[in-house]
Order: sequence, then C-alpha cells, then structure tokens
Amino acid sequence: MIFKSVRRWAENHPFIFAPGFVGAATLLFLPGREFLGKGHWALLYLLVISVVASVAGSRPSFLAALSAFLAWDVFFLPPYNTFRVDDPKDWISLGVFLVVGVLIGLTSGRLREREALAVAQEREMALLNRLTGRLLAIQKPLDMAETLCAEIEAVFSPRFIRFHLTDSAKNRALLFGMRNDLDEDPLEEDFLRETAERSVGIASPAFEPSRPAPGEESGIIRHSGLFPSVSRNDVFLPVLSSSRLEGILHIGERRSERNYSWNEIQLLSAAAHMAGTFLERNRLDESARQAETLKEGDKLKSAIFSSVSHELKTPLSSLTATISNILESDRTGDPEHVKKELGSVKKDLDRLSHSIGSLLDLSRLAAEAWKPDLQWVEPGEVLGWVLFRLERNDRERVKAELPENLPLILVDFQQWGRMLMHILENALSYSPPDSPVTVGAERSASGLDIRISDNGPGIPYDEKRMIFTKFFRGIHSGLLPGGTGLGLPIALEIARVHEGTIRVEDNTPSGTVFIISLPSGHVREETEDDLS
Amino acid sequence: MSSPERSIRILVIDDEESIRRALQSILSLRKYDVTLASGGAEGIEKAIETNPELVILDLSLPDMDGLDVCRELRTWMNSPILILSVRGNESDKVQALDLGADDYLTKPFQAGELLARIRAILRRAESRIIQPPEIVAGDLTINLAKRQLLRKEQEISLTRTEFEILSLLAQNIDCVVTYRMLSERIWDDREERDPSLLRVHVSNLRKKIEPDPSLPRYIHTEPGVGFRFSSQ
Repeated sequence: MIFKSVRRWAENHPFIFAPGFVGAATLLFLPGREFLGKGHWALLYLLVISVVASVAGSRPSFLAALSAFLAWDVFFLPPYNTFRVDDPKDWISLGVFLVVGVLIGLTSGRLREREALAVAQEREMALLNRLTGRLLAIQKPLDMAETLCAEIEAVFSPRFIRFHLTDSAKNRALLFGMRNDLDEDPLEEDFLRETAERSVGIASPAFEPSRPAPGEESGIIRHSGLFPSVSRNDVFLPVLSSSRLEGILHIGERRSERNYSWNEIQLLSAAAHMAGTFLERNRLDESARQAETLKEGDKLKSAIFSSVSHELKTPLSSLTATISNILESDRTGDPEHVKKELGSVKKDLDRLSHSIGSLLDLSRLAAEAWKPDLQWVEPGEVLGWVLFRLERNDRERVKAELPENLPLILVDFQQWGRMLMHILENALSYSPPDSPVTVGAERSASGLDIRISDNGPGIPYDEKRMIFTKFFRGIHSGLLPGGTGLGLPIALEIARVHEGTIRVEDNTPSGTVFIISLPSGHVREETEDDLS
Repeated sequence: MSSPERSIRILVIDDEESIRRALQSILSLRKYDVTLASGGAEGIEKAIETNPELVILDLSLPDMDGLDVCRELRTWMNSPILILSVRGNESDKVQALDLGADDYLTKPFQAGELLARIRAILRRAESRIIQPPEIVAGDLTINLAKRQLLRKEQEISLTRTEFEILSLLAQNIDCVVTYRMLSERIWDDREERDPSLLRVHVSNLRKKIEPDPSLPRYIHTEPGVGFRFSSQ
C-alpha cells in the first residue's frame, strides 16, 4: 500500500523523485562506505538508476545518473566530501560510470515507457472498440451520452462528466450530467463560445488541439490557450461532426492526482468525435424519417382530398339532381314516382354516411386520437353488437359459427366492432345479394383466428397485396359503388393497434376468407370469476 | 306502423334546424304532437309550458350544456328523455343516462330506429305504472312475481343476481340499462361497481338463456354504457 502510494507520487513528481531516491540511497550506503571497495558502490548506484528509470522513465533517470555520478564522486571516491579524486584513473571510472548510468537509465526508461504506452494503447483501443460497438446499437442521444460517459468514467475516473448538446444557433442544453450544480459554469460558457466561433463554416473538426511542446505539462484544450487565467484540470472537448458543433463534453479532473496525458486527451477527443458522428447520424435519420412521414402524409392528404371530393360529391350531386327533379317535376303528384326517387335518395345518403364514417375512423386512427380502451370481452359479444347494427337483410345473411367456450379477447370493444363491421360490409357487398357470409373463430397456435368468408368472385392474386392500401379499389369495386377504399386499411390499422394481423385467402369453391389473428397476449381462457 | 290512439306530446330540443325539421316531419306523420325548441333555456321553458310525455334532447346545444338541461328537467319532470349524441362520445352518454336520461340514439339514425326507441321508452314509462307480473320476450317468459324463468314451459334456474339482472333488463326491454342501474338493483349500491363483476354475471346469464351463448341474441352489450335486452 505504502509502496503503491510512493510509486504513484514518484510517477507524478519524477524530477523530484529521481535525485531524491539517489540521495536516500546515498544516506543508506554511507555507513557501509569502508566495507566495500569504491568500485562496488558504482555497481550499486547503477542499480539505483535502473530503479528510478523503471519507475519514473528515461528523462528522470538521466537526472538520477547525474546525481549518482556526483554522489559516488563526492562520498565514495577519496578524498571524501570533495569533487576531487586522488587516483587519476578514477576519472576514467567516473566517465564510464556516467555513460553506462545514462545508457541504463535511457534503455530501461524507454522500455518502461513503451510498456506503459502499450498498456494505455490497448486500453484506449478497447475503449474505442467498445464504444463503437455499443453506439451502433443505440438509438437515442441520451442513451449515447450515458454509454459514453459510463465508458469514460470506467477508464479515467473523472470527478464528473457533463455532456451538452448545442443547436445550430449555439444554444446549449445539458443532455447528461454526473453533476448538476454547475449550471452556470463560466468555463463551459466561454468554451462553447470560443469553440462555436472557431467552427463556423468549417466542415472538418476545426478545433484540432496542438500537441504541447516537450516538457510542458500535457494540457491541450484543457484551458491552456483558451483560458490562461484558469488553473483547473478539467478537460473541455468539442463534440464535432462533419457538419457542425454538436455539443461539448466537459470532463472533470481525475480523482487521482494525475492529470490527463496527451494521449488520453487524444483518446477522449476521438470518443467525443464518435459522439458527434452519432448525433449527426441520429439527426439525419430523424429528418429522413420526418421527410418520409411528410411525404406519406402528403400522399395521404391528396388521396383523402380526391376521395373526399369523389366519394362525397358524387352522392351529393346525385342527391341534388334527384331532389330538384322531384321538386320541379310535373309528376310530383305521382306518389309511386316520388317513392322511387326517394329510394335512390336514401341509397345516396347511406353512401354518404358510410364514407363519412370511414373518413372519421381514418382521421382518428391517423391522428392517433383513438387510443384503444382494452378490456376482456367475449368474441360473440362484439359480433352481436355489430350484427345488431347491420340492416336486417344484411344481418340475415351473416351466419355466425362461433364454437362454444371461445376464449376471451382483450380488445377495445368499439374499435374491434368497427373492424369487424368494415370487413363484414366488404364481404357482404362483394358477394351475391343472397349468399351467406360466415363468421367463424378458432384457437390457433399463436392465439385466436377469426375467419370471415364469403362466396363472392374472390380477389385476383395480384390485388391481394393491394387491398389494404388506402383508397385502393379492386377490379370488382363496381359491386360496391359507395366504397371508399378505406374499409380494409382501417380494419388492418385497428388489428395492428391490437397487435394482430389480417390476411386474406381464397375460399373454396370461390370467394374470399379474411383471417384476423390476435396474438396470445390478447387471448385468455375464460374462468369463473375473472372476466374483467 | 300503428299510430298512437291519442296524440302523445313530444318536445324536441336540438339546435340544428335540419334535425328539428326532420324530427317534426317523422313524428307528426305518426300523429305525435311535436313541440320544437332550438336551445336549452327555450327547451326548459317549453317543457314547463307543454308538460311533454317525452323529451328528445341533443347534448350539444349552443346556450347550455345538454347535461345541465337533463339535470334541470329531472328536478321536476318524470317523462322519459331520449338523448341524441354523436358517435364516440361515450362519457357524455353515460353521464346523461346517470342523470336520468332514459336512452340514447347515435346520429345519424334511421327513422325506424328513432321510432322503435321512442316506442320502447314510452312502453317502459307506462309499465312503470302498471308493472306487469309477467314479461314475454321471444321464447322466454319471465314471471316477476314468482321469480321464475321459463323457456317453452321449461324452467331455467337462475341465481338471485342473475334473476335480478334479467328482470331489470326485461323490464326495460329494448332500452339501455347502465352498469350503475344494474349495481343499484343488485347490490343496492349508490356507488357504481366495477363493471367487470357485472359482466361475469351477464356472461353466465347468457349461457343459460341464449339459444347460442357464443352469439348473444337477447342481451346485447352497449360498449362503455351497459346492456340492452332486445325483443327483436
């Protein structure tokens, strides 16, 4: 423990340690001066130089060699306590000693430095590797900042880390901070201003810190040059991407006394750079998504517009024509004629009402204003509610073949009902007027399947993929003049918010089967007392 | 369609002129005596003036909240109130029913639907005074006095709760019965209980009385509101 702290102190103050260690060794050697020959002490001093070199590196060992040279001369070569030597041959020994001492120091110091460098490089590579891997799997800037800060924390143990995001107007917002009492840190403000000014209009990292001159303590962005009056050892790094300053990273000084080395600051710079690239990619992804949504929205809007004008205007014009005809006709006295005309008025109105209902469903689903209110219900309960709402002759065509003891389903009653309604109306409209439409249900491996089958003309193979596209009208759409091409997309959207799917298959001998599948999370066997 | 023997007075409170006109025409044709009001205050005034036997009330009025009109009318009037609402506004519907409205109709509606609803709530208002001891619906005969349920002469045994639910639903045949009405009847609760418990009982009841329990024919669910016993 003591050895460790001495060693750490020596690493941090190498130029005091080197002469100090030689001095201490001399004090230790002095009492035994007469026991060994003067040459033996030279060997012991070489040992001392090696120790200094291995602890403090090559430059301090040079100082140690010089100190040892003097100490040997003064204390161990007679006459003692002077620089003079009695035997002129000792000058040769002294000269050789100095050269060997310096060489030993330089060699073992270099070895030590290379080893330390290798360890640090390995650690840094590992850090960058881990960061690359982890950032790839992350979507949100906050998660990125947390990951980055956690990695930096694990390797460097700084007192704190603060990650600020900046926008293009140079405003900053704290994204992630291990310390929050720094909200008005003048350093951060200054740094941001400085960095922001320098990075204007420059497409590559503008803030390349220059390598410090040899001997100078490793301070790069860390206040040197930027804030000469500040003596803190915090590191400020710009988080740059190829297009702009994305943020700033403020890393507090280390918990240990050691400062950040040049290599370490380079490493932190690289990490900040990765963060910048991440943020830029994230921003670009986001705007690409938004553009896609906008494009989709525009397409939908124009489709809704054309559908609204077509689906609402057609029955309206026909209504206007029919009614003005009744009003102006000479035959208004004929009740049979009026009744016939009114029959078509009713048809137009039904069509209008249907179109408006579908458009309302769609806009509520699109605006996500229709949050499902999930509850456990019996499948037949919903079907009963739907059938109750159909016209009598339509209702009589629907054959419900639900087995007994079906499981409960977790759905929004009304939405689920609307979904069944859209598919049933579709099936009823696209099959001959007297043919039945069958509703069945069965447990499947993944949950529950509800099957709605008709005996209509069926859906051509290449249309099957299209029928769930908004406003698509199939080849047989003439059978349903009031259709908006919205019923099935709405049904699919409702199934989707229930984590379910709708697929379409051919019925035998003809017709179509719509299969609505609910996953097992939405299906549960009924028990006596837990219908909730 | 049979016309009522004497003119029944109906007050229509709706701010939409076209709806008022349509209701006037549908109801007058069936010999109902129709009074129209275009706002809440006017509606309450006309109600005091004409003492209607049925009020048709739109919930969205320009001058007053339809719910307040309903509350106000219920302070002195016993005649049934039929609410007109738009799709998707369940909470208003339920609130109005809890305030004493009798049933609701969602716009747009067919004339047939409206007339059936009116007949059902008028019949119910009448049966509240006369209280028939026996109610027949489809192949079911519910004897309230003997607390007995028969299907084609065959007795079906029900638990006390199931019988209470069935009798309340049958007494309000074709009219909506809210969760609150049911819990008041069964548990004598002022507080509305969790509807899920009621749903368990109704589910069990369906298994006993429905010809096909997987597809209810008698007891229909009104999502978010309650149940309706259908005579159709």
